[in-house]
Amino acid sequence: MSQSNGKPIVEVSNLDVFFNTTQGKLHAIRSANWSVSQGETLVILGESGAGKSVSVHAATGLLPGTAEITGSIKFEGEEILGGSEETLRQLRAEKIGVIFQDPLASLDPCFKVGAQIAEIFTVHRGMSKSEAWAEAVKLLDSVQIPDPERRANQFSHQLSGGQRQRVVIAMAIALSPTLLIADEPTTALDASVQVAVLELIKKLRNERKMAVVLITHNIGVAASIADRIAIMYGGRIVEIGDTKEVLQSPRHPYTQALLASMPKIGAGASKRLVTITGTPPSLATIPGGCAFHPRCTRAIAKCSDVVPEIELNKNGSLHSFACHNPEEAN
Amino acid sequence: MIRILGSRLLQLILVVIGIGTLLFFLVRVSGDPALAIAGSDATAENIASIRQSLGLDRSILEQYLSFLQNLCTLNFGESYTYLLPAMPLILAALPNTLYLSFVAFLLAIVIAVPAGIYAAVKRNSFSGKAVMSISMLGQSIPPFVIGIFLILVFSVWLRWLPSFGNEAGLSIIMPSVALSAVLMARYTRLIRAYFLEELNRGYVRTGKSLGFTNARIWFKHILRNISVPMLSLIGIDLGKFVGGAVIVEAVFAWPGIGSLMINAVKARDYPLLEAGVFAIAVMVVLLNLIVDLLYLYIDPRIRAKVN
Repeated sequence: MSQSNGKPIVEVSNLDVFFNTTQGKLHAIRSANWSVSQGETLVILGESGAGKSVSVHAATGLLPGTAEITGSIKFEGEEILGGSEETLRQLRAEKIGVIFQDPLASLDPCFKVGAQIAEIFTVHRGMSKSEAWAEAVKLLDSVQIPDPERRANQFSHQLSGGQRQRVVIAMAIALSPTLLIADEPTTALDASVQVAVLELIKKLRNERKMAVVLITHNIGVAASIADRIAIMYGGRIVEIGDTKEVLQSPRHPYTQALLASMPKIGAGASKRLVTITGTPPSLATIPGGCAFHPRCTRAIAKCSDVVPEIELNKNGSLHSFACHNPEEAN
Repeated sequence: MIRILGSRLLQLILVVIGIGTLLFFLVRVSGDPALAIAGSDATAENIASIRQSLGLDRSILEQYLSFLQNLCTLNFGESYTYLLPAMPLILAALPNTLYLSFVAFLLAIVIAVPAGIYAAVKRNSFSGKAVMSISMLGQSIPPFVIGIFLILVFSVWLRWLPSFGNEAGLSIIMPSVALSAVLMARYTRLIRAYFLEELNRGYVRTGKSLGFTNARIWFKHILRNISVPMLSLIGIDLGKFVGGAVIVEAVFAWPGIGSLMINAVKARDYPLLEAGVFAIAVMVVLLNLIVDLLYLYIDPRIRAKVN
């Protein structure tokens, strides 16, 4: 596992995101704070609708035009929030690579995958078509696609799911970005392929010293790649810290409940899985106070009135959580 | 590939026989060409002898069989009105019709693609909605009305453009505009709708995440993707388009197949009608073949199924 002592790539502070919809203003992200450094992997973990993707794509400028973003997002030390569309486009071109969930949808069905990768080099590096093609084949080789020359000449519908995702990864890292965003990169893949794709992301991160932000709802995925984990619920980060601490000594009852709901090998078939009662709130109906309190087994009176603030770096600890009545530390 | 060509050839034969047969019976219930040729004060003997010379005194079955024979040899006999072989007359007029159709079609595409994309991108602004309103108008007015309106403005009032024939280079302008207006409007609306659908596709998001400019994403990727459904519509439209051409040619006295056909209908000129319909049927089937081949070029998934 890589170390998190590199220079910070992204620093998000007090991030709030609103969406203007026909049903009024939705408060999608509530005072989020996170950062990721060179060579480090931050996993953002949560259920669907918790705001995982929104909190990350606020930094890429890929949110829809109806989004209103406040707070601060620094990329390599420079404030990018409020920057022009052109600045963000340049940033996406040179510094940020993105992998999306569904690799088939991510690729253009009408162009050979080699041509789609080569396009990146002709557009952003001014290469000739043949140079760019050679570069594309090299890149396919580096994401471990066998027989890259032949694959480059194929279309996305001719590749397997795993190969498609490798092509998407190749495109994301083509211009050696400093930040790789992986938005549920393994969710659409077969279980056996998931591991290989995660291993590839790890390998590329280590070789290229990229910062990685990986979004997932899968605790197993998070555990296998994360240096640090941020748990999101109802648009807020409710717990953040080193992977080991968060998973072995969760302090927020939601994290605790998430972990308890995961089956454990060797626990025996007799042990029933613990479920979290109720359903996660939609953005339009987030409860007052702590968003989790209606489902929380440890809720106290205060929880329904006062939003628990996340206390960052309290007593120098990197493990932070937002709870009035936290679980005991192990 | 060979299979496609083979099936298209078979289709062509069936279409020509089918349309020819339909036409054969339709014109024969429409009235007697001998009456039209002989004039209003002809005697019964006159008319009978004309009928005989045209072979119209034979039984309908005999006439049909000789029509089928004509189809096979592409010799439809002499035009009753021009007193010349019908097929060469049609072939001489064909280039004018193709020229008009081609220019009109090109005009429709050249205007509709940017207009449709503009209307999609600016869908929430006044200008985007204005494009849609204008295209709704264009779609609602029949080509001959547009044609007459154009003649009124540009030939009668302003005296800028010739109102009929194909003598000067400028002659093409008004007929092609009149012919393409409906198509232009229709394609603008369709391109807008397809474009909006594609804007939500993953590959568009990928393009943005790679820092491509909107222009690149719109004109290279989205346009390529929407050309697949657009092509299938174009294939359907081609037949209608020829129908529109006939009317527009008549309005502007454009010396194409359409003008010949209108005259042939008026005079009940069977051979000319038959030759004209034959030529149009062949044209439509051939254009559809070109559309099919373009499909293969544009969409690799269809190509994969064929091979």
